Amino acid sequence: MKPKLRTIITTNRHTSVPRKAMRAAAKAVTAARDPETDRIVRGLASPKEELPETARK
Amino acid sequence: MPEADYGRRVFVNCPFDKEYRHLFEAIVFAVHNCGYVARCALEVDDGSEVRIEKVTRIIGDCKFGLHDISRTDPDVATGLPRFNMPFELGVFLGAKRFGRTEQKQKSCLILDVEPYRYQKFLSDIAGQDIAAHGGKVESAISRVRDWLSNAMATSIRLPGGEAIAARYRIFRRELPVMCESYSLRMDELTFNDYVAQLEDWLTQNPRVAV
Repeated sequence: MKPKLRTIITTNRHTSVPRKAMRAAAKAVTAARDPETDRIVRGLASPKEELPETARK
Repeated sequence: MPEADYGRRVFVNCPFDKEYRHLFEAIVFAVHNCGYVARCALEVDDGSEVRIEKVTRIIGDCKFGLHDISRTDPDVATGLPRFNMPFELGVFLGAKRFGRTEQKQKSCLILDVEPYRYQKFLSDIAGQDIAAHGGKVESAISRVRDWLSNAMATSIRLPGGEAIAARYRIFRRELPVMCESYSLRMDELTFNDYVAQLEDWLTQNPRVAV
């Protein structure tokens, strides 16, 4: 059986900001993101490992 | 309030103060990123409801309980330690022990800064597995992820702790921008605002199954 990802649950909470504005904000930051960061968010790339101190010289 | 069923709700019992906020928000992120729903006393702001009623109601609603008992320092203002976290852990364990069928399925994760420190101040829970986060966001995320992954069907793939932490760092970077778009400062976000924004961000940014 092919493993599947867990679905994200969206709840109906009482927020101080309209939910529509939150959805729009999430859409806007997603659209403005650079491709490398987007790949990390989607699990298609790992963040670049920082080189150890000795390897930087 | 949250429509998720009993088996997908996680009661988060931890300090709500400024010093702990970075861990609290990371834990809530990890819970939602794993497909669960975080519940806590902050979600209801009803002055007419007695706090213990609110807490016990939420505990009864949740199969899972995440209890951070790391805050043992005396309160700066009073010089006395706060006992709410161990108390609510006790209520959760009591519900599991004496509750009906559904309540007996309860599962909990107890977190502290160091692995065996709790034996000195809460020896009654000796023998239970306590996970240590060392006060670090990445560790806390991994502990939550590992615990929740054990409760899942093997057909479900959960990203590793490091991958969730990487997503969390990006979410944190983008959160102030999202807040700014609706004229709210980060410190003005209520718990419900934070969770709602988090859910919308996660929905907008699903991980791709590979």
